[in-house]
Amino acid sequence: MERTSCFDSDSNSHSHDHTIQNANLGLILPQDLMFYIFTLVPLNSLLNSVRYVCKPWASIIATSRFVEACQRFNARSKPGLYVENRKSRSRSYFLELKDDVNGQFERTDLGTPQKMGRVIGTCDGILLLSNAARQV
Amino acid sequence: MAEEVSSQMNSLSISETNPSSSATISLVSGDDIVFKVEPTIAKEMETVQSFIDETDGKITTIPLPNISSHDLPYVIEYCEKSIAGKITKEFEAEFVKKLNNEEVKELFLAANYLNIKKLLDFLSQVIADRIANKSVEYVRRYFGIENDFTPEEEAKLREELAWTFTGVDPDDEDEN
Repeated sequence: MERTSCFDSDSNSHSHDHTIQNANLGLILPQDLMFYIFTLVPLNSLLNSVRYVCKPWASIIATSRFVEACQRFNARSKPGLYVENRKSRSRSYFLELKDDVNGQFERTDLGTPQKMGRVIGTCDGILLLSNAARQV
Repeated sequence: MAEEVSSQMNSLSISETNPSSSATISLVSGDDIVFKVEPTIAKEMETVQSFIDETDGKITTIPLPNISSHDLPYVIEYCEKSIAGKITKEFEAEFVKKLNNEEVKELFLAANYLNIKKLLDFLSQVIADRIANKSVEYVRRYFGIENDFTPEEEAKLREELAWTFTGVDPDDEDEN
């Protein structure tokens, strides 16, 4: 199974040595192990909670290596729509299609897209347009 | 002095399925407690297996300085279930119910150290589930992490586009 490959490296014993026992705060897990755990955490939690925990975590989640790992592990990409209102600069969000029959959505807020410029982005095969989102 | 404690789980059907198995293996925890286990268990613990392979099977007492006598029985229990092919959702649910947050983390590190892939995958998912949909403060407490963001930095991060996610523009992010 591909996901176990994270642990195949020789770094196994190393990461254990880096473990810090903090008397007040408990056991701190090494970052290479957190990387793997993050790939299992729902996107919603990564965006709204996990990336605000501390700087090292924020940088792990922001790396393209992490994004690639997530995409590899979560082979099943979610059907849904990316929605962004370009005129009002309100928060963009992702509507995940939960139920094919009833058309139920789960909304995932993605944040304010202030760096987008005029770029038209894609998210798992969804094309991003101004004022409207359309599946491609 | 080492105190001998036999694994409580030895009554499982492992020896029946493997009649050729020779002497037992002694796993010695960091606090010097000896756990006697069937040799087949090493197949689940890659670190132990490679230790045995390197010494051509002559050495059957294996020190595990990073694992406490509190955690080792859990690891052995999981491995024995795994060998017996009895890892079920029900077993895993019961198994994890017994563990507090610190124990989950300890076992996770033990599984990493021993290179037990199934246990590592399982506990990764357990930890991921325990932090999913939790507040920032909860996750910090859970992992024993102190907030190193200034309020300004946090506000800036919250404004930042989630497109760093796509790997499109992570390079203009200043982390000082």
